[in-house]
Amino acid sequence: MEASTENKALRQSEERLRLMIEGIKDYAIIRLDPDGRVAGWNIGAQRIKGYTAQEIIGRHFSCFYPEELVRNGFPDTALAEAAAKGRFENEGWRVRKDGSQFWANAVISAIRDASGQLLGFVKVTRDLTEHKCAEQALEERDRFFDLSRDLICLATFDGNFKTLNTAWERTLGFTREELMTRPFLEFIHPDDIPASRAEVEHLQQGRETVNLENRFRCRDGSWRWFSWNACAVVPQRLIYATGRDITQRKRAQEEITKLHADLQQRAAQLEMANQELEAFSYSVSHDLRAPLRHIDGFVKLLARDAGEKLDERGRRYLDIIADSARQMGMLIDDLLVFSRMSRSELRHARVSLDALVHEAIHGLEGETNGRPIHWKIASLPEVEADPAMLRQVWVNLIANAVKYSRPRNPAEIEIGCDRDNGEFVFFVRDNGVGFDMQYAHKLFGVFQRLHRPEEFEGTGIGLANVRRIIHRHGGRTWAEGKRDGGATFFFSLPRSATEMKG
Amino acid sequence: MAPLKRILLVVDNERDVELTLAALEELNLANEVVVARDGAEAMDYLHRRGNFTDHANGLPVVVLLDLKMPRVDGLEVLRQMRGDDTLKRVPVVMITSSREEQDLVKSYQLGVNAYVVKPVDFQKFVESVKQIGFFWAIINEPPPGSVKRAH
Repeated sequence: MEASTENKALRQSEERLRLMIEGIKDYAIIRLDPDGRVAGWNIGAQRIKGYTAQEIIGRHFSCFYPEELVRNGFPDTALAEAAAKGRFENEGWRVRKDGSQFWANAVISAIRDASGQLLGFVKVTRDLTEHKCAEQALEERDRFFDLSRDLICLATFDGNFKTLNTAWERTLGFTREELMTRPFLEFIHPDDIPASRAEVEHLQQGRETVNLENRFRCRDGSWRWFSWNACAVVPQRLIYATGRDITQRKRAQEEITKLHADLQQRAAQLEMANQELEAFSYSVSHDLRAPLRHIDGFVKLLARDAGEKLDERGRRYLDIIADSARQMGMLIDDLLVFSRMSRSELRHARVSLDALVHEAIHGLEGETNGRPIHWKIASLPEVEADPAMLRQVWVNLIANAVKYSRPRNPAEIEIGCDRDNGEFVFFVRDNGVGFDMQYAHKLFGVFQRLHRPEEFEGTGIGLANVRRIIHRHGGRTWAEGKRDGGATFFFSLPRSATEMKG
Repeated sequence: MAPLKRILLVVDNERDVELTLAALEELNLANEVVVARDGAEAMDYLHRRGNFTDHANGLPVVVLLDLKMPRVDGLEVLRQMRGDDTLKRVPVVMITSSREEQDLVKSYQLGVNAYVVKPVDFQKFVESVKQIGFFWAIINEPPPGSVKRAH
């Protein structure tokens, strides 16, 4: 009777304990048999894992673990360790009935009877997902700051760093401790301190800093440029700042500034060279002509005063001297025209090339009169160009065609235009004496001639002028020819006025 | 007192002087020419100072002026003459080697009466100088105060 009363009391006590355990909601308290099959299940377990007691009792507890842990034999290891040491604790992802995962802290304890026989295990699991997420959020935030290439910091109003991201260490080379133990102004370039100090004062008054540029010292003694954005939380006496490393940009800027200065210097030098050239051609115009006049003048005076005393040969010498002086005078004049062509400003106007060509041919009547010349002249477009200079081009090219076709009967001269991509290509073709293509590159040079003066007169400046003028209009010049097989001179002009150079 | 000359020739180069005089000889004007070898000398002559204190009062009927000269150049002589009350009406003819447009423009801006580019060819040069001499020293009626022609 007594024993039965005692037994009853014990059963009642066990029953209360069971109800208490089953009623706990915040912990999953699971009883496992020695093989790991679920033998007991509380409300907390149902709430956390999603299974009812009927669904889970008798199933192996490995269904609570993600597949890869099961594959690795983790659940068995855990049981073995709990059996060996009495207790096994760990944290990790676990799987609910619906397949979703939660972060769990679990403790597995072995249960043994008085003789030490293993009766099974109790597994107590807590759901720490929220805690874990908060932890992860913190980690993400820290990573966010530490992965930033920008320097991010909190600094106090009294001038010290409070928090730094790792970009500080990476960029400047100082350790966090080195940075934190000194006022931040000590790292700033002496020349930038006044502006930086003023900016800190503005921040303390609640004004924002936008793109303040200054230099910070690196551990190796070099300086890096940063552009700072910052604001202050005045009640907490804290400055939040981010700085972008703009050293590269600054160097590029310095390079550009230097190049710009160089360019200006070059332009000034060029300007000076031009002025010198101007002075040079002025001096050529004045000083070189004077002695020629003197030679000619005194030769004439000599001929007048002493001509009768000279024999035929002597008088011929005087003629040669005078003729040479005249020749040189022409060269000088041509050179001056050429230099003027290069220097004088282009005056742009709408020019009818038909009209220019006819004017040019008309102007050459002195040379063409009485000569058999077959003209073949195509209709030419209007272009935007300097009329006087372009007239010079046509005069030179047509005069050449007339001159070098002199031995032909009849001479044939063709003038035309091809409309190419974006440009006009004009040409003047003759059936004259032509030239050897191996000397074609010399044609447009100053004072370059392919014929002896006694064959064809001229100083060799005409085509040089043509080239100079066409280049200044943004075009090109070239020629094709054959010895004794005629010649064609081409020049191009860009079709749009905007492509022309001044 | 030195005799008054009617033509002031301002040229630095002595060969130019000789050639110009040779041309003017053909008009019998050579001995009416006084030569200044640069602008400073020309101004001295016109103001009767320096080496020219002893000639009588009277202005040349024409100044034949070279552009490029040492010390004071032709443009400067022209500028000073046009800024001077007694000299501003004296006819000035530039005789120069320069065809430079800037020289031409400046000369006319300063009030030159004629601008002649010296031809390289002597025959043409003689012709030019003769025409200049003929026109300014014989045909043209000079402003009051100029030296009268000896008859």
